[in-house]
Amino acid sequence: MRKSVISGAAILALSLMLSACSGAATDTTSSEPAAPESSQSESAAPVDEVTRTGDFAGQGEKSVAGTVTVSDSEIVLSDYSSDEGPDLHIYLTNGDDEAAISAGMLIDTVLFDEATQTFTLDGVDVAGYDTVVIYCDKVKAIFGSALLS
Amino acid sequence: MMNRALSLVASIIMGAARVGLGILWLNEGLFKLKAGFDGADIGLVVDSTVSNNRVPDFFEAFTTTFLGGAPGFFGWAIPALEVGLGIALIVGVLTLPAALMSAFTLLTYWAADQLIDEYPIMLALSIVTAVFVVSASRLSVTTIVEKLVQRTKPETRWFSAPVRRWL
Repeated sequence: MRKSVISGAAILALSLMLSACSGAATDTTSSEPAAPESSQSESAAPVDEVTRTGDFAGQGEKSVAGTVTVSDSEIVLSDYSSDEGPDLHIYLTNGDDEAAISAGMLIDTVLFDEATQTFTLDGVDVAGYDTVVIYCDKVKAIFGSALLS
Repeated sequence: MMNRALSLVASIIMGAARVGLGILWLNEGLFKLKAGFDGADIGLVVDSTVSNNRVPDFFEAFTTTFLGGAPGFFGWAIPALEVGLGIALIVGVLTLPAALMSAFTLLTYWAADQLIDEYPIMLALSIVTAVFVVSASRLSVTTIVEKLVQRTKPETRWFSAPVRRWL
C-alpha cells in the first residue's frame, strides 16, 4: 500500500512537472512567427509619423468590428469588438489567409471585449505589411481582418 | 495505522487531481457555451484539419466525415461533453469512464493540432486519475451513495469489485 501511495504521488508530481515544462516549451519554441517586443498601453502615436488605417470585417461566420490605426511605433484599435475565442491574437500580414498568417508577424494577444487597445511596436518594419488580422491560434481560424490604406 | 494514514493522504492527493481536472473541463465547456460555440465553430475545426498539414490523415478523414457531417450536433455535443466531464469529475461519479473519456478527448484535440496551456496538464491529470482511480474516487459522491446503500441493503453487490472502480 505504502509503495502504491508513494509511486502515485511521484507520478502525479512528475506529470505536473512535465506539463509545466511543456507549457514553457510552447512559449519558447513556438513555430509562430517571431513576435516583436510589444505591449498594450495608453500612449498616443507621435504626430509626425505616417499612419495607415483600416476597418475590420469578420470572416465567414465570425464577427470583428472596429478601426485599426497603424503607425511606425504602435497599433491602435478603436471601437473594437469581436466574437469571443480561446486564443485570439493580432497579426500584421500581407493578405488574409493561412499562408499570410504563416508569413506574417504575431504582435500580441488581443482582447475580444476591450474597445480601445494599443500595442507598442519596437523595431517592426510596418511598411512591409498591408493587413491586420485577428486570428485564433488554437483553432487556426481567421476571425477577421482590416486592409490598411 | 500507518497504512491508513497513507491511504487517506493518497485519497486526498488523487481526489485533488480528479477535482482539478474537473474544474479545468468545466471551465473549458462553460467558456464555449459563453462564447456561443456552435456548428460554425465545428466548421472552422474541420477546415483547419483539412488545411493544416500537421494533422494526421486519419484524423482529417474523421473530422470531415463525422464532425463535418453533423456540425450542428457536434456544436452542441462538444460543450455538453466538456461540461459533463467537469461535473462528473468534480463530484466523483463514474470517475474511471470520465478520466478515460477525458484522455481520449484530449488526444483528439492533440490530433487536431490544437494546443493551449491547459491541455498537457489535463492529460497528465487524466492519466493519474485513471491509473489511481480507487484513491481518486474514495472521497466522492459515489462513496457516499455506496455507504448509504450498504447501510440499507448490506447484501447488494453493486459496489463490489470489479464494478466499483467503474462507478
